[in-house]
Amino acid sequence: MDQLFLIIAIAYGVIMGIGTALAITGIILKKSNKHGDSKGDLFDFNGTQVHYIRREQL
Amino acid sequence: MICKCPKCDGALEYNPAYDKMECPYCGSAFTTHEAMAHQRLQDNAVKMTAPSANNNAPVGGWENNPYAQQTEPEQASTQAIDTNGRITMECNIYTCTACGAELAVNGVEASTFCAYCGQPTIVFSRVSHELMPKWVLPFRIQKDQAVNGIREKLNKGIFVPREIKNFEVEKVRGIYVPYFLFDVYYYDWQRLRGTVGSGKHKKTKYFIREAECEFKKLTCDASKQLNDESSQRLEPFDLRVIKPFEPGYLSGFYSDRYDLDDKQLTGVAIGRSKELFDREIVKSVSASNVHIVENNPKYQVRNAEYALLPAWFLTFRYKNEPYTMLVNGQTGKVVGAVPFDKTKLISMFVTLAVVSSIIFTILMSFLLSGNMDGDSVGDLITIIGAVGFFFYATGIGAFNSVRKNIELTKASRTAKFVRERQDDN
Repeated sequence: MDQLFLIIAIAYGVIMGIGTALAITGIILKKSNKHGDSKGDLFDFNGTQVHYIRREQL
Repeated sequence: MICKCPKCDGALEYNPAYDKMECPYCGSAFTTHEAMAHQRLQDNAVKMTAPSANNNAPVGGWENNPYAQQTEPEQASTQAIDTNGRITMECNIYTCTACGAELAVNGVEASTFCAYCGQPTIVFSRVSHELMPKWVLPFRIQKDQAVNGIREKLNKGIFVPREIKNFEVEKVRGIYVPYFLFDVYYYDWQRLRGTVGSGKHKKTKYFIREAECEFKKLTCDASKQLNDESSQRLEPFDLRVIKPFEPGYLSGFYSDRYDLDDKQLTGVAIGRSKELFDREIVKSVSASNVHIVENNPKYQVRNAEYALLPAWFLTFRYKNEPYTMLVNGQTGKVVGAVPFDKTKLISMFVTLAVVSSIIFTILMSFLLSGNMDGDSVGDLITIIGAVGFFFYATGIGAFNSVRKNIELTKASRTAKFVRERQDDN
């Protein structure tokens, strides 16, 4: 039983270890390479506004 | 489009910092209006000469000779009316023999490489009558500021290869990107579905929204060279300060030629109107998971005007692939991801994987060796499995996002454009 637990512990340890490394390197890579990912919101400028004629909750 | 200095006849260049035309030879400065008024007087007095036979030589051949630059053919500012009654102006078109990109090079600007593919293959092509823009948004960000913006971003990237961090400043070019500015009226009646409350009180609710919007100067980029996704990421531009077009603003910069006209872009303008309108409507609903289930849109394109908007382009090559980073010439927003150093990335990944595997193995051994019954072990394994799945999904998502951004930075669109042209031939 102890051996089985050890195998499970190592298997889960390796899987979690690789997952953690993947998540951390991915996040660091994304953060360090994130340049203008978002599109500009055109409502910020130019005075464009939506005029509501009807707003209802059914 | 060259403007000469009224004092020394040198070529004036537009300085974004002072919103003035400056002479690099005698240091005089003039407003764009003054410079253009002087130039018009000059144009009336002197008939412009046609391009000489040696104009097919690479531009770089005369770029270091200011006197030669002043006698080159781009000094035309002649305006004309085309068959459709639209005002055109004379431009000098330069073509990249590697990728087929066409740029109108203005003033005394000269280049030895293409701003899109980075190859040193720019040659003078022809003088062409181009539709005169109605509007121009002058550069506000100077070259130094653009370079600093890019450097700041690149230096933050721990996986960015050193040769990219040490890019050549000369390869940063100011380009006026052609846009059509659309005025679109958009109306829609929508029925939306959303979720309100949480837990046991969660309910699906329906909402009605009827609204209209007058989009003014909705931007649609008119260059095939520039990927739509990239140009939309450059936005927003504050068009409240846009100015009526004066050729003087182009002095010292390139201007890309439009190769999609307002008719071809109408569908894009309507699509963008719909996207923006729908996003605002969804935001107005106080619920989660909001979806439009029924709608009845009506729209009308009321006006389209040609405009030039400013952007700085940095083109560099890494492992034989061209990459282009963009900086909004008005706001300084940097757009574009860069390739990463795979050795550094793999080293970090392996180190982290080994260390975390050891830590998790010890932790698991500790937990499993405790007095836990079978059910508790099963629960623990399920929980840890779920956490592991989350880690994998997060990591893969982040890598995919970076890969997509890098694809945008790669000038693959340019290659496609070349292929299309080759097919045409």
